[in-house]
Amino acid sequence: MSNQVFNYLVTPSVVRADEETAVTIRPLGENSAFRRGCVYSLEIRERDALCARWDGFPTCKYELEPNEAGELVFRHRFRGEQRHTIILRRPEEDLRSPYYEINNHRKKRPDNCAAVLAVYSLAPDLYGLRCFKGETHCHTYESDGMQDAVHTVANYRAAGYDFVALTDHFTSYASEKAKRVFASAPVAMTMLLGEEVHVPTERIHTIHLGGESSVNDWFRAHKEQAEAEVAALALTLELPDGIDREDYAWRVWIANKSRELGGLAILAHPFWIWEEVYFIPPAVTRQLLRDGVYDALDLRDYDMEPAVALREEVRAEGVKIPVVGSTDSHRTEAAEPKLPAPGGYTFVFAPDRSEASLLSAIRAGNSLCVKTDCAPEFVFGPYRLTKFARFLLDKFYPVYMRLCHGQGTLMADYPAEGAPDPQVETLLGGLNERSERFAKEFYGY
Amino acid sequence: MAGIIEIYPKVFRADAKQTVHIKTEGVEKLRPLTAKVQPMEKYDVPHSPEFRLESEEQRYPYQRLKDLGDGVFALEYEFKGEQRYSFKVRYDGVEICSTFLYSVEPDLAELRSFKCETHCHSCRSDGSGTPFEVACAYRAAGYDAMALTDHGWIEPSYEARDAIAPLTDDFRVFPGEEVHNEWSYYHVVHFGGNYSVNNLIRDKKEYIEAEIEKLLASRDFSDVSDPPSAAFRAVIAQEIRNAGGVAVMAHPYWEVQGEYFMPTEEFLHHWRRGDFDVLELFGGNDAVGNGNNLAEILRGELIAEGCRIPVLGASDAHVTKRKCGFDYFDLQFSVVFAKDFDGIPEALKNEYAVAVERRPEDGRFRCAGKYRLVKYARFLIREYYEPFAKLAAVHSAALAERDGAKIAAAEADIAAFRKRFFAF
Repeated sequence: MSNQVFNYLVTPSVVRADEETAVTIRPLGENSAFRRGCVYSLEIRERDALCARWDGFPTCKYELEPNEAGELVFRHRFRGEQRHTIILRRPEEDLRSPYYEINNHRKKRPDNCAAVLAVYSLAPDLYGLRCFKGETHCHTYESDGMQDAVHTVANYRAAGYDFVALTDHFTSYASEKAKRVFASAPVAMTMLLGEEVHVPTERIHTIHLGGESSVNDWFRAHKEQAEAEVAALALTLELPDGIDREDYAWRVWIANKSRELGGLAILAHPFWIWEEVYFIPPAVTRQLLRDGVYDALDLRDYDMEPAVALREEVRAEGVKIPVVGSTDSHRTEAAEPKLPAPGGYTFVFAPDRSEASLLSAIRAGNSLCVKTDCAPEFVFGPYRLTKFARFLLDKFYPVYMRLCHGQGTLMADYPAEGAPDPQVETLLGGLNERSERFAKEFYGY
Repeated sequence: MAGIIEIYPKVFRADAKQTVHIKTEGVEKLRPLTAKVQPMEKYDVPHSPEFRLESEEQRYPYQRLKDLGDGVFALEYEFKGEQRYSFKVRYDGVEICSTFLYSVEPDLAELRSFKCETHCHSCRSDGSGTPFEVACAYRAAGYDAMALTDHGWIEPSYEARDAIAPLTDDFRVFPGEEVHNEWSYYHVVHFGGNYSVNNLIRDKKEYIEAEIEKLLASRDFSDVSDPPSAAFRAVIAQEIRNAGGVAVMAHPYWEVQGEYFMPTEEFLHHWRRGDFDVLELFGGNDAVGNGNNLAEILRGELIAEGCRIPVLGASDAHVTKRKCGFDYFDLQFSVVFAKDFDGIPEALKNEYAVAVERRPEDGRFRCAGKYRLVKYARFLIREYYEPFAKLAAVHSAALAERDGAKIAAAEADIAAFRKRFFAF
């Protein structure tokens, strides 16, 4: 991560590809302020173009003086969908330290280079979409988690999450509680209904994300009907040898019921190794993916590489497999023992953070699985979104997460029942306004 | 202290009854021993509402081992399909050994696995260590094969090959070079060919230029911004093939002064037309983790389009000694499955290789490639290559000393280990 995100705000940092855009570079402290009357040089390089063409090195340079507000403003047509590097050089009379940072490396400035900034240009279909960071699989005290619903959600907000689904075993109770408690909270965070569906037994783990009501509850209330439906479904399935028809039918039934109740069905941790055995036999996982039984695959898995390689092979057969990421966390306090589970989260690219937009975006494949148990993060999903996400991880999230941290602290003070302390609500509203303003300035929309 | 000394073999043929041997010491204290083999992927158990995972032990019960004498026990087992197995040994209800076994389908049983480096440098270009020293360093890290690929010339790889070949048949140095244009901007790895493509570029400049012109005239380059760049790379790749080598697309997402080494449009252009043989998927030039990520994702999308993209991992190491910086050495490599050393180039082209990246922070591995090979390679990296590296280090030391007797002794140990590890 470059520290320049805390020294300069480039607004907008996301621009339309192939259209001229006015970009402002705002210094964020005395160390980065521009001096009146000095002329600053900007060099713009296209990252995903050719740093050397057959016939030479193309460059684009601007010479700028700061405006009345002490900002540098320039207009530029950013070509294609890619990241653009902006090298800001200070004049002799306004030089700073003889060192600069690029890609985490401290380097001596070859000349009067001052900062390496960046802008991302998006094609029309992606321009206008915001990236929302979310959790699609985690647990609270309502099942085998350590914190209650309010604390769990608060801790996710403190880590910069925009949406969360609490997916306790056998119940959507915690997720419904979170929705209720934070229904009118002044915070840009969406609570989704969630549950881990274990129907008919714990043998099957499916994530039901969003929607109106619980599949677990429906099964408990209509057990005989469900069994009859599954028995009928099992007769219609065309399956290769070696796959248990009844087991498979239950998985299909759960996915269908999740959608019928307005949510998504997510294939959870098929490569979880339980007692040295994969939780779902890979032959079954392959068939489930081929048949498009689920709306998305949670690619973050306990044994992730086989999951990635298998998805790749099934995609090569022409099957689309949207992905999400999660932690399957059972505790969210840092002071507690480190989770054995490899971490991850979901990035969803949607016009807004409403439940309908988020679910629709995941279903359409506009989501990513971000794997976090490695440094730096590894991103899986569509290539264009992956590239854009890596830019956001570098330039947006370091600031945004810092701005969300205080919001999480305040959300933990919300009572499980009754009205929140008005002072807490006011403070939360103020901090939320700050993070929303930053997001709007960063994206420009 | 009494206990298990060795479990062997560890890799078996699928769908055949075979014997697992358990060598012990202090056997008189350990009788009776029991063991169980538990497949990782195949439950072979119908679903039922009562079924719970906790019943594993009932489905895969411990069996009493057959005493073969001299502290060696045996268990017969029918291995089903291609998968990993957990293998546990108990004495008096207490687990005293837990390890993994693997069974492979007949096609993999015919192949050997080779840990390979396909992109690294010596002091003959901008690396450190002589070609011979670099080769010995790779052997010490458990490699079976390597190519030295110094910038601009193939001769250093010949130097390493000629130094190693008379000493051993158990470690192969292939010819290699990193091919550049005159001003060194373009980087293509040439693995295993018969002559230098760098020399060709230098000595037959008109011929190369004519080939580029020919390609520009015959192919549609409208999908790239700089057709001569793309044509040059395609011509280099073709010349590598003409030389009998493997054309490797090296570090496409290496970030050079804030820019990618190869634009995405050119990446797509080359793979959609099959210009290269193999993609260097995991490379060492990835300081921020950006490049290997993007290469893997874009490869996935091209595969979904119907393209075929064999992969490998290569460190591009310039340093092999810890005291000298040790940059990417042994952090990225390939596990190649081939009949013998001579089959390695073809195996690379035919997707019989797994790209491997080792995370320096915790030593964990990441593998990419064909699903079944990824699974098998992950097993081998832990169960085979870790103990193998210790034997290879002894072999390497003997090679460095050029001591024939020590080399022969180390090779005998390696052969014995290999023979016991694989049941075929």
